[in-house]
Amino acid sequence: MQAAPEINPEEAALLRKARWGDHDAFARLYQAHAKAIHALAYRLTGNAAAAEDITQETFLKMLGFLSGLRSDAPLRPWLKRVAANAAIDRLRREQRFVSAADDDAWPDTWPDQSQNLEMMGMLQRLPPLARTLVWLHEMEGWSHPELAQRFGHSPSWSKSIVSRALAKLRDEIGTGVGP
Amino acid sequence: MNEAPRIHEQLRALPEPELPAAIWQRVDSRRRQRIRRRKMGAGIAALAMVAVMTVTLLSPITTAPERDPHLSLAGQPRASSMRDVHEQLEALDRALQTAYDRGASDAEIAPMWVARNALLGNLRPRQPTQKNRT
Repeated sequence: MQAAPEINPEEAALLRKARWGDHDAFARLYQAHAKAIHALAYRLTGNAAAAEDITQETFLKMLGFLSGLRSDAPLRPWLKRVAANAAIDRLRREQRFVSAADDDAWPDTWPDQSQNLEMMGMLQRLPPLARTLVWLHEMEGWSHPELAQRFGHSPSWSKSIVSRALAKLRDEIGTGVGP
Repeated sequence: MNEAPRIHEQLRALPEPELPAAIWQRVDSRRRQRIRRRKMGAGIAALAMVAVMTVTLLSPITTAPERDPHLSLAGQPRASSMRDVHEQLEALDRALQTAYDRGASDAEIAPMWVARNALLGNLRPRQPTQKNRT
């Protein structure tokens, strides 16, 4: 996992105020974290509407849990965990095949690779499940056992999908597709 | 070059998508909705409490005056009755504190003060009834 972020005293004060119903404090917490949460949701889902819904859902959940949130712990990791879980739930709802064999994460037909030459495009072209696993593992620091537990599979299932997705990205970079 | 760090680096360098302003509007509107609902619930609870206290306070008036159960032989309120009043006062003080903390309206708070003053009045020792010794 990534190193624990430092505690921000200003954030702790805002959290305490928001707990007592302070509108401005809640708005400032939203401003401080919403962009990162929205970006994460977008990376995980690859869908603008889903990213908006997840961001909204995450902050409403925060609102509901304000009294239970520790003000001596940074808020961002908690928000990211909530957003990631929401994205995973959505993915599992939308793709029943998650519970099937890992080969199902790799459809035979790939979108036209001549389009979208950027890394964002490469990431977007990964199958949804592979994209979510790669991002959570590579960028958010989720371990394979964590991913496996959350998706109800074995760590080798997660390792297999992540390594195939990374190989695919490496291939595209190596063959000049990409920046 | 080792491709793994390069991929990581490129993923990290991806620009963050623009945050749509509509999300805050949706979150804020839901937040206000929840606050309204909570205030309404708290208002109903406060009114219910005032109603219960009013009934409690008025009950001695409706009982027979010669056999006032709150008066002991010495003409002082009984200890158990005093305890009840103190408990009610504490509950009311807590409700008032909560109401102030969440910025409740004057209309919500005023009946609680009326009930509190009535309770305080109940705490004052009552004068023993003067009996004719003839």
